[in-house]
Amino acid sequence: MKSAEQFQAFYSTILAPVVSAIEADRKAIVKKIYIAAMVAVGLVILSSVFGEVSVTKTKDGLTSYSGGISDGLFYVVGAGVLGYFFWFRPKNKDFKARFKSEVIGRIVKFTDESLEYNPTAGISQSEFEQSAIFDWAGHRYLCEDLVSGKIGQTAVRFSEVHTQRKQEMGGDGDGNGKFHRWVTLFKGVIFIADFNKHFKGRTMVLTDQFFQNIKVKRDPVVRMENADFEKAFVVHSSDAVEAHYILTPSLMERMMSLYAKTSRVQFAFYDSIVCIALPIKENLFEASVFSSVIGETKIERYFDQLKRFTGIVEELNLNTRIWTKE
Amino acid sequence: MALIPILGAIGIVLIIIVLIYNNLVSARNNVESAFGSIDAMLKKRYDLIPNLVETVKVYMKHEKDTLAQLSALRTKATSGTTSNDDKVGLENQLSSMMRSVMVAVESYPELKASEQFTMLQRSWNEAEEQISAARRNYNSVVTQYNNAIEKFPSNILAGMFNHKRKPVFVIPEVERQNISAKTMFS
Repeated sequence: MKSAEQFQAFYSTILAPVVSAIEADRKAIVKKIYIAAMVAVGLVILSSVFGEVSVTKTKDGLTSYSGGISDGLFYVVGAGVLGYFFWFRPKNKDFKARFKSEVIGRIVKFTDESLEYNPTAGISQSEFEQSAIFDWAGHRYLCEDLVSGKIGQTAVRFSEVHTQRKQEMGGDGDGNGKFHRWVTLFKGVIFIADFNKHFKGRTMVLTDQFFQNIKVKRDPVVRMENADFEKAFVVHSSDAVEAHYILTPSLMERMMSLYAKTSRVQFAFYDSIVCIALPIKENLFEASVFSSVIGETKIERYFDQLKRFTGIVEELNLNTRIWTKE
Repeated sequence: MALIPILGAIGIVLIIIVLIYNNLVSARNNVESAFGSIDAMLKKRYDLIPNLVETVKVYMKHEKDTLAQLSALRTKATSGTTSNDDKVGLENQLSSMMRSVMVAVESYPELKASEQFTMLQRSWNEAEEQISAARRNYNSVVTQYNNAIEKFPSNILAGMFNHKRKPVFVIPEVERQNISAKTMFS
């Protein structure tokens, strides 16, 4: 595990120049927006002062004004909308993508040489469904920021995943609704790692608050000895002895410490791997064009975000390989 | 007309009795199945011993006696003639003997480096852990059975149908210790 001091050294030698270059570009973008805004305001003022206003009296005796400020506003707003879609949005997208590939990519490699980062890939929908933690991947499945590789002897893959369902609003219930909104089913990180023991069946460790359990048909419940663990989770398994084999007193304690950091964390053990679903509200590894990216503390926050997941291997002691699985 | 509610009440009580009875039967069967699993895991471990003794014998010339004892213990355990009480005693002897062999291996670097031995050691660790899992599962299932027998209202039926409290398996202190990679592979 890389320490804070090592990160500081890494930042000053390798990251700082990269971050400076990106910051320079970012400032250029913000400057342009600023100038555009000033010009817009200027135009509006000018048009209100100098624009010809024609006043007409309609049949009903009302007065209507045209020209002047309303013309100015119209053109400015129109230009603004066009500028947003054709200039700002692609620039913003490029900025975020560049930040991810140049900064986050390097931080990932720094954390462990074997790790690869792909900002646009993620845990596939079929992997998500295979874990059987959730009964449905939703109407819309989005994923990004895939990190994959090996930490010690443990192969890992994790990414952000966001599943949503469509909710009809203002309709007749037959799908003819005028509007729909997207409701989040799961938002967070799906983490898949090679488990340190061979086993044949499937064991699920789900939090009690997870009401989906009722809807989905699951394996029989297995009771464990750890009282705190039993309060936090419900264990379903295809083989009770295997469930005890996987969930040793030591592992249960480690899972409880993960639970303390991320409530509603779910685990699935199958095919000799472990899949962990961590619900997380924030969007990881994002940079905004409107705030500075320079600063060791700021960048270290991304490193901390990453460590939260790469650290799971050590937290669950997955690199202890004293059984038949290497 | 007054008969209908009375019949209904009797019907409900009968259904409850059947449910409780069936629940007790399931609980008892679970206990027996769990006990069987322990035996299955124990057998897996016994089966490892001959191979282990053969591999280790070549290097550990000084430990001949211990190894001979280990083989003898294994034969006794699998002979099927030991009583349940004796079995537990045998088990403990076997475990402690195995542990002393593993400790002795420390003085034989060629043995430690041998891939065959490493694989056997891993299989042994796995067998030990599986036995522990089977025992823990047994205890959990027995506790559920004992609860069902002693709690109201199933305790009424329990007495009627000869359900008796079962003992919980006492896991020897040493097994409770987590296997540390450091001691096994240092």
